[in-house]
Amino acid sequence: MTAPTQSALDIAADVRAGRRAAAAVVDEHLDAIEARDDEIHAFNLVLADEARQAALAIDRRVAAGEDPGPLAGVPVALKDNLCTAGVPTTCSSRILEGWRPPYDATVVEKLADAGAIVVGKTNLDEFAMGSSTENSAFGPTRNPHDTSKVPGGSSGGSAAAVAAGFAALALGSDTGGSIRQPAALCGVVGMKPTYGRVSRYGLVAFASSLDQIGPLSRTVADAAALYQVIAGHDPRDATSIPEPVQDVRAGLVEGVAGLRVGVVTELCEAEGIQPDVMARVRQAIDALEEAGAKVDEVSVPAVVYGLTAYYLINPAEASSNLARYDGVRFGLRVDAPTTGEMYDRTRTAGFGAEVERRIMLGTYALSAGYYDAFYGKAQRVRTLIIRDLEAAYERFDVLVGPTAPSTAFPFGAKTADPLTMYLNDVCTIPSNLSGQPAISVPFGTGDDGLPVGVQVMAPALGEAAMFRAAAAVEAGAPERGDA
Amino acid sequence: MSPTSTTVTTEWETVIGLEVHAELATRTKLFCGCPNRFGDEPNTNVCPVCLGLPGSLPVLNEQAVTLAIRLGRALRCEVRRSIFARKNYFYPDMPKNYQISQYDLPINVEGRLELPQSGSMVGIERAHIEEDTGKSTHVGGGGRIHDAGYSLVDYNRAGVPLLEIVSKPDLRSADD
Repeated sequence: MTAPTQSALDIAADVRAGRRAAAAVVDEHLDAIEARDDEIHAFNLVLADEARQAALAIDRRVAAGEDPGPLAGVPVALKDNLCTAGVPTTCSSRILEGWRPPYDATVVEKLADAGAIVVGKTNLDEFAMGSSTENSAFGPTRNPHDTSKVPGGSSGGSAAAVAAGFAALALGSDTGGSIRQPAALCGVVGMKPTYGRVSRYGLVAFASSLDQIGPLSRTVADAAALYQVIAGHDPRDATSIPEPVQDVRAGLVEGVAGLRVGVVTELCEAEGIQPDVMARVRQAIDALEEAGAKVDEVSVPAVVYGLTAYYLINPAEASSNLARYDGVRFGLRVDAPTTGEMYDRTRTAGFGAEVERRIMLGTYALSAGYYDAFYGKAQRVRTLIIRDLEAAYERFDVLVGPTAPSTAFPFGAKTADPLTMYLNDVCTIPSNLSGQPAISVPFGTGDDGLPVGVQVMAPALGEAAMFRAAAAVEAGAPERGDA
Repeated sequence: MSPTSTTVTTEWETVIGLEVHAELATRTKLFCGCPNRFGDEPNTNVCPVCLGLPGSLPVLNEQAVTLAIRLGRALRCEVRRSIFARKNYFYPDMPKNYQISQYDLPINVEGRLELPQSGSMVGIERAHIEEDTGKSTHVGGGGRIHDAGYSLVDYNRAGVPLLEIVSKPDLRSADD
């Protein structure tokens, strides 16, 4: 049995025109999940009955001549840190095992309005902390291209679901690269919008100044379509950008003639970048040049401090955001004679090692006497990175480089030393620190036959230029097989 | 020989500063649309935001800011651009285990209040906006947390807007 490979846009067009029943589309994807998810473990929870009900409702609307929405009948997988009303949302943590939110995230409501069909909640590194999905409390997800390898993280389940054909689209979250890096390792498209472009209401907070929700898909056009659905101001998210969302889809076919593309020296020379990954990036750059882009090298000096600043800021913010998990109101409670002991036992039993590590680091970094030296300093370094990126964007429309330093690595290869794992994020972190958009586009494979992703970065609210360049990279990519 | 009240007042100087938390009379809470109302059944004026449920986000109540400014002006404060900050600590009646308050940059600073009876001037160091916590009822023991058998928490009050008014240590008597 081969997994479905139809693009989301093609599915939606077929369903809207009555050429295919949403019920048939959903069944096809549920069959693929049943055939292979025992092996891949992309999902924490498959919503088969709910998906079938939703599909029937879409088909009824089409039959009645109503508009079923731009993503009608498209199966979508949701990272399990997105709140789904009445449906367990675990963040792949024991502390939220079985917790059912009483409300839907804004993006979940938007997907429903668009006619998309949620097929399940996907696995992630616990509370989105990790780059391999090995930190999940419910077991790792396997890379569909090679099941002895990780899918990347933290949105490993979402990336694997799209790569394996379990869903045509997925939503993930990206705080330091958690959409883009797994997308690169799984050979799919993954995009992080400008900070504030997509509402975070209903996204379980990890690092509030860095988190963003974004699309994963097999094609750039599909990512743009999903982005268009989820983007927009939300009064329930005070960090949400009020400006109307530009339609990026028309620009996809405009090409890149005259587009100024900068190749970031420091990202291409970062520690640990595999030569075969860099070779593919150079190929993608050549493709852009052949398509008429004006390519040049650019130095963004402060970018080398991104990893250090990020690994102070994210744990600091996480230590505060995860304080609410205390056994009092919801989730896991481990009983004890006193409240203090109940907190200790609940949190010790409920949190995995990486989460505990970051909470401790973050609490320390924010503590009296250290706050300014660590968190304050990291935020000032962040400003320097933002300034250097803004300077680069005076001369260039987009910046290009690798998404991840390596192709998918084996399970256990990077878990001995947390710092080794953190290095995976070196290329993706700058866009989170700056709040600017970035996308990973699959571009061939490494020497090991595993997918490589090329990253396109753009200035804040520069999604249109970013998608244009991404489409051109995709057009120039070598042929790739399915998972 | 233990000190008498006369020795206390003749040999010691009374210096008092007050920190007053005043609930602002808004229709809804500081960061969500739940009613700001006393006396209802426990845990009926609550929502994902004031319960601090995963994924919830605060949105500022403009009327709370208006009232805070009005109070600040009444106290002859300098009203300034201000920032909200999290005060992180663990307590069962504080849903997020942090309180959204103001620290470095409070909305009202350096005011004063002339007392009606004595005419004394009390300096107002700051008057900032913050959210209230829920209410704990400790059952058993002496009604205090230390020897309670268990505690009940009502979150109706969690998220109600407060103005924390901090005076300078200018009060010199109980009457003042």
